[in-house]
Amino acid sequence: MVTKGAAPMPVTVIGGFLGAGKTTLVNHILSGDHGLKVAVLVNDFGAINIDAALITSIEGGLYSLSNGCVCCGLNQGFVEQLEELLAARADIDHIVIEASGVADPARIMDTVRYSRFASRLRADAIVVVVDAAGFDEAIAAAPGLAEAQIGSADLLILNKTDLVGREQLDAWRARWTFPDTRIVETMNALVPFDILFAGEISPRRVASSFVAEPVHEQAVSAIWRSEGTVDLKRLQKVLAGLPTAVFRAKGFLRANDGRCFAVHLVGTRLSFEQLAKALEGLDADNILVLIGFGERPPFESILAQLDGCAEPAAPAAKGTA
Amino acid sequence: MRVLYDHRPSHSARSAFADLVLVNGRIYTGDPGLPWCQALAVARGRIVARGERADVEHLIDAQTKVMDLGGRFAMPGLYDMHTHPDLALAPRYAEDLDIGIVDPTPDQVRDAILAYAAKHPDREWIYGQYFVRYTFRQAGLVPGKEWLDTVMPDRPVALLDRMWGTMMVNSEALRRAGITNETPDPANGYLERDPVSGEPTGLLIDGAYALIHAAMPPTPVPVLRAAYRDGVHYQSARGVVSTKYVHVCESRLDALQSLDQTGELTLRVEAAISWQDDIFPVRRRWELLAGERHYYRSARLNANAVKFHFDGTVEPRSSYLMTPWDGGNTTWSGKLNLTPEHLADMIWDMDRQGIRVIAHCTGDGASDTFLDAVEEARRRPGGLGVRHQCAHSTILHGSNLKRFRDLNVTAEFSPVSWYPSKFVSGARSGYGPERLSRAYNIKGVLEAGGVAVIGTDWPVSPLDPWIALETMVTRANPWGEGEGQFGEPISLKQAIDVMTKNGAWSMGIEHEAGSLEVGKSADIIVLDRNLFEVEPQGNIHSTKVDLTFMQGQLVHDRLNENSDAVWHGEAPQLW
Repeated sequence: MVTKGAAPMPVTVIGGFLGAGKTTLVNHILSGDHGLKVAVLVNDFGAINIDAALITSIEGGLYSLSNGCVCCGLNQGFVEQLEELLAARADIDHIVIEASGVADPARIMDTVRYSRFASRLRADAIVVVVDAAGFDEAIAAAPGLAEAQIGSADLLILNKTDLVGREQLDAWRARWTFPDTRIVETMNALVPFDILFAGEISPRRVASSFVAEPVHEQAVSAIWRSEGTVDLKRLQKVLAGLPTAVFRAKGFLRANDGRCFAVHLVGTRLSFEQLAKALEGLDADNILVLIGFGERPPFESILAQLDGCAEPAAPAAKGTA
Repeated sequence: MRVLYDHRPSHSARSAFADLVLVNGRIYTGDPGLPWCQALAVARGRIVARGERADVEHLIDAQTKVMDLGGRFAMPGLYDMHTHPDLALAPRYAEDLDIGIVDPTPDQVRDAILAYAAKHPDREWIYGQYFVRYTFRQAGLVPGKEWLDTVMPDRPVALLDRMWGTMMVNSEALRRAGITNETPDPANGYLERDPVSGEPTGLLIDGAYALIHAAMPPTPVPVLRAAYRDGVHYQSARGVVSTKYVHVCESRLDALQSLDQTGELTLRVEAAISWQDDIFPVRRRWELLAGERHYYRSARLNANAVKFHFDGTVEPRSSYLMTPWDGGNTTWSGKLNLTPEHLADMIWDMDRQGIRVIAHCTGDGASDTFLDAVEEARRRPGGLGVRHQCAHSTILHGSNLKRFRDLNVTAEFSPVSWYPSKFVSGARSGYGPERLSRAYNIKGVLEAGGVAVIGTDWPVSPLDPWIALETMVTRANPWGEGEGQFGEPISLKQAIDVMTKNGAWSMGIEHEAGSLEVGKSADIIVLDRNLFEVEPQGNIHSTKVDLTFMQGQLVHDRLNENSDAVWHGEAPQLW
């Protein structure tokens, strides 16, 4: 395995209006078989359904669960609570923050991106849960807020699909799908963990490490490799313009100016994290895993576009001087 | 009419008669030696005699103005020792861009910017609110300098989003602010950057605004003047004769001086220069503190104070407490914005210059550290013993109550949550029942021999001082909107002292103002009711001030439009 080293901790913010299903999603994560040690900061601790038998310890308001997850209430200065969490638990893999139903989750992610956290936290995704049956009521209750919430979503979970007909779902999509929106339809907020959390990239094999959840659709993936370096500007354009059937991309790249990057794409959020040096043990100089969901993405044309960004390795420099 | 600048050389002749005589009043003097009288005589702004009518008769000549109060109640004018009319009112006069649509589309944002730019060709910056991100996304656009440059390439533009979390600026604004790829992010925010090139995109988050604000022209003095003028008008009409405007900069002092010079500064103002740039930049802070502040000095205006935020507030749980917020569950007890060492050195330094330090302290840990720093400064040589001020004093530790007296520190309380209300059951409940039970412990400070004052802290709570006077006495909701009492009440006499004499003490003028005694400034208010004869709850806060005299000058006259007062009629509606 590629060691995680001091890579910044990915952070997911879960947003959505009151009653949309955020807490259900949090419970799904806390009890889920994803193999990750997830720290969850919840807005309303009382609403979380933790099986007492799963709690292994309670220390300083931090509940440790037998599956490796930890959970605590969001109850103090947010910046300071993140600091405490980072100091207290070096072993966690991912942080999930549940926003209040009346908050814009983008504001929470703004704080995660403060420079004080620059090398320690990485904004992974804003996941916004929408009640397919109750969105109009949410807009009426807080004009501007529900729209802002979906406007800040990197991934949008259209939840409670069992409560409305296909026609209504399609009408919702027609009204509220933005050109770059990635939507997962769910009942009981059962979002596949493949979509929610990035898997690991191993030296020889790129694969999802998650057990598939019983949902309607399965994630599909494709891998792109190249030798030499890439034209980052061009690649950035390709990644920013990926079809919405691609939900995630992750990989490692070498730029022609000598810099090396880990790349993370979640829905609309694209980040390039500069690495101190190239990772060793990968089976190609540049590698990108693309994960699709729902309809199969046009992987062939995407891979061809990525090939267009590759700059094959220059011949070895001649020792003339 | 003005007595303020009619300074007389020491040896010039003076009239033996009064300029003003009030008769037939029920005048509460605040002076234990003679608590009540019916008549007062005023000459050159000062009280020269008091008692029965017969005691002032000999001071009346043809030039003396004699006013019959018709049995009305009069008392010393009020002291509001912490408030901010500029912060509440300046946006009203600034005429910044206001798009005025809940969720404007990018086209609507563009049209509003162009219309505003055309209407204000002389405005250097186009500044205002607001855009929302989702309509950009809906349109397949990315908010930032690239888009904004297509709208307005040549004039700097800065536009806030609706949540006030993001500011969108164009390339010209970035250029003027000197923001480049190399500009570091502030600790409490960041510049959104292209992930590959590191180039700022023109979106600035939270604390990064300050970089743009620092490059913008400051709020214009006429805007600040208009804001202060409304505030001063309101305060005079509600019987306030002395106030502290906590947080000023050079422009704010210019605005106050302009009011002063045109006779519209109808109360005494102690202005506290901001020690930090967290509310607005103070461009000439060190020049002001080194001595430039004296150019603003008059009988009514001084800037011999500094103000700073030492801890936070209750809602984000940033008040600095002596014990963790959450009992044993976490170690979080809030935070301090300056080190205790910074504070001790600063207090000592200011004290040697005669500058008062006003420290925002909501948590008991913050006031404790502040008192420690004052104690340390008092031990060092050269201090003048200035009466520093602990602002808000929301939660005080019991063992600190007597230190206000011992260290000559004013305990200032703000009335926002002295009484049961939705606010107390909501936001303030974050302190927890034990801390709430000792919140705003005015009685505790007074019983320990200390000096307590109040500040309305507008716009956090209303600018009306009479709400504070009533709720100090009742600790109950003035409008009956919450049951029961909250905290420990004090007597009406004590509460009047808090809002008169104690205020004068906290300004260092108790020997010349704050009570109606011979030789003291004639700062007198005449009310429509006798405070000692009404049921306090529901009745003190609605008191009407018929007349306000400031240094013997009639500045407010509620009932007679034809008098020579500066202000007439009811107090303006400001909120």
